[in-house]
Amino acid sequence: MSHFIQYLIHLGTPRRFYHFCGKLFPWFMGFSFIAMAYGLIGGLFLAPADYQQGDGFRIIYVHVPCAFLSMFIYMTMVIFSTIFLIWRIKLADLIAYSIAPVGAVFTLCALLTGSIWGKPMWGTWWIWDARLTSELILLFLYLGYLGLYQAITEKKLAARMCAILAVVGAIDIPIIHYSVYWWNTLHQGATISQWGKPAIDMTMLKPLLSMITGFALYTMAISCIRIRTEILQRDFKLKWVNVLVKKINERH
Amino acid sequence: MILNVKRLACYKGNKYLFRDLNFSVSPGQLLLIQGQNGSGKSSLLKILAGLSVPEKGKVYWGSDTIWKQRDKYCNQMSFLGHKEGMKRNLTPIENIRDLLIMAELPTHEEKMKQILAAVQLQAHAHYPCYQLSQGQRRKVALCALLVKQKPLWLLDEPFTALDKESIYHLQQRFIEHLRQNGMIVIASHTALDFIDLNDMITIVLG
Amino acid sequence: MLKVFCRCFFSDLYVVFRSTREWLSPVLFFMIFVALFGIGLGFDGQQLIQISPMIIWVAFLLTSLFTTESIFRADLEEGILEQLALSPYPLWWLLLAKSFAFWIASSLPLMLLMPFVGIMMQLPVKEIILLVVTLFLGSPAITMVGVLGATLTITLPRSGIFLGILLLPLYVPILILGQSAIINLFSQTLPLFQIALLGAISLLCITLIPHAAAAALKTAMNE
Repeated sequence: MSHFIQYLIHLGTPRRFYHFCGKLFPWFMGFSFIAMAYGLIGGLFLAPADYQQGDGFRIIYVHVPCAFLSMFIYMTMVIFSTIFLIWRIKLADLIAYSIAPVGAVFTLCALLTGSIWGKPMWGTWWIWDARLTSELILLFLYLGYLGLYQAITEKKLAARMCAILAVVGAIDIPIIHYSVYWWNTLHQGATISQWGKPAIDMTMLKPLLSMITGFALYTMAISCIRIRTEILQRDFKLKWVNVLVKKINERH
Repeated sequence: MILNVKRLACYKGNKYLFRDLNFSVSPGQLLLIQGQNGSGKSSLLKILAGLSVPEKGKVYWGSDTIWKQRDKYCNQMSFLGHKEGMKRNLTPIENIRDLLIMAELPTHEEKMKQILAAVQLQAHAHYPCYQLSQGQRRKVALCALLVKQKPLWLLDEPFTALDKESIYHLQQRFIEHLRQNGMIVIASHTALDFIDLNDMITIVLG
Repeated sequence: MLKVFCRCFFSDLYVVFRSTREWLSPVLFFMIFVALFGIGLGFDGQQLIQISPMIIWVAFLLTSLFTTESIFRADLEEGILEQLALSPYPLWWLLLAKSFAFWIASSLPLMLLMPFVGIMMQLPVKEIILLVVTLFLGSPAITMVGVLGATLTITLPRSGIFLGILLLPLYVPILILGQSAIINLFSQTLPLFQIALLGAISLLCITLIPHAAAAALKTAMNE
C-alpha cells in the first residue's frame, strides 16, 4: 500500500503526470474502440428487437452510457475537488477542471438522446420526472462550474471557489433527484414515471455494458489529452515545457 | 510585545514581490515601508494584518506567530487599508460607534465628538458618509483608529486625499502614539516630514 | 460575543433601511411579477387559484436572486469585509449576523405583503396562512444559499444572471418542498412533513453555510 502511495506521490508532479498520461492514451483509445465496436455491433445488429418498443429502443446503447458517464464524471470531479480542498494538491484541481467539459457534453448528449428516445416511445419530447430534471440540473452545475472558473481572473481563487461549488452540488443532486421523485409520486398518485429503464435480458445487457465500458475508456483517453493540454497551459513558463515545445517544433 | 518578521516571501502575479524579508518593530518604533507602485507594500501590510498568507516565512507577535494567536493579535491591532471601511448610509458617529462596540470598547459620545472636532468634521458628524468626500471619509476612519487606541497600527497609504494641515495633525498623533509605546507600520510613497528620524525604521521594496 | 452579533446585525439593518431604494426595489419587483400574472390570468379565476401559490413562490425566489447580488457589493467596495475579517471574533459568526439582517431586510417586507398578495390572487385564507408559513420556514434557506452564492462570485464585477445559474440547482429542492406543501393543501390535510423538512433544511443551512462562506471570503481576501 505504501509503495502505491509512494508511486502516486512520485507521479504527482505535472511533468511526470504529463508523460504518464501520454503513455496511457493509446491504450485507453485502443480498448475503447474495441469495447465500443463490440457494443455497437451487438446492440445495433445482433440483439433482438424489443417486445414493446421495436427497434427504437436501440438508442439506449448511446443514451445510457452518456447518462451514466455524466454522473460518473461529476463524482470523479467531486472526489478530486475534495482532495484539492483538503490537501491542496494542484494537480487534483487540474484534473477536475479538465474533465468537467467532457462531463458537460455527456450530460447534453444524455438529455438529447433521452428526448429522441422519448418522443416515439412515450409521445413527449420532455417530462419533468426525477431523472431528467436532475440531469438538467447537473448540466447547470457543470456550466456553473466552468463559467465560474473562467470568470474569476485570479486562478488560485477560482480553483478553490469551484471546488466548493462542485462539493455543494454533489450534496444537492441526490436531494433534487429524490425530492422530484417524491413530488411526482405524490402528485400523480401511484403512476411512477414511465421513462424508467425497461427490464432487460442478457443479449441486450452485454452490449450495453460494453458500450458503457467503451465510453468510460474513451472518457479517460480524452481526459488524458485534456490534462496534458492543461498542464502545458498552466506551466507554460517552466523550462521543461519550453524544451518540449522546441523538440516538437524541430520534428516538424 | 514585539512584531517580528522572519524570512517573509510574497508571491503574486507569477513572481516574487519580495523574498527573505526580516525585520522587527519594538514598542515606540515606527516602520515606514516605501517602494514603487506594485512593489508589494500593500501585500506586505495585508500579510502583517493576517489577511493574506505569505508564500514563505513567519510573522511573530511576541513569542507566537500571528496565526496561532489570531484573536489576541486582532485585539491588539488596527488596520486601515486602501478602502476606508465606512458604511455609506451611516453617519461618522454611528460608524465609529459600531467599530468601538465591535472591538468591545466603551463608547463615549463626547470623546467621539472631540476627535471628530480635531479633524474639523464636527459639522458632518450626523450626516451620512456618502455626503463626505474621500478625504473626509478617510479622516473618519483614522478617527476610529485613534479612538480604539490599540498598540499596533497598520496603515496603508494613510495620507491619500488628505490636505497638508490634516497630514500635520495626523503625524502629531502618530508621535503621541509612539510616545505611549505604541507601534506603527506605514506603507507610503510620501515621506514623513514631521517625524523624528530616531524612532523610524525604513524598508524599501522592489 | 452576543453584543458583537447584535451590533453587526443592527448596523446592517440600519444601512439597508436608511436607503429606501434598497429595500423597496425587491418589493416592487415582486409586486410587478405577481401583478402581471394576475392580469394575465385574471379572467379565469379557477385557474388562477390553482397556480397562484406557485407563482408567488417563484416570484419570491426570483426576487431573492435579484437581491442576492448586492449583499456584499457595497461592503466589498467600502472595505467593510476586510474589517470584519480582522475582528477577533470568528468571521462565520459575523456573517451569520449579516445574513440574519439581510433575511429580515429582504424577506420580511414580502412576508408582510403576503396577505394582500394572496387576496389579489384570490387565495382562500387557509392557503394564505400556509403560504406565509412555508415561505417563512423556507426563506432562511433561500437567504443562506444566496449568501453562499454571493461569496463564491464575490470577485466578479457584475455577476448578474450568472449567479442565477449557480443558485438554481440549490433553489430547486426548496422550491419543490414549498410547492408540494401548497399543492397538498387542496386536499384538507396539513402538510406537516413538508413544513418540518423545510424547517430542517433551513436550520441545516443556517448552521453549515456561514462556515463555508467564511472560508470562501477569507480565500477571496487573500488575493
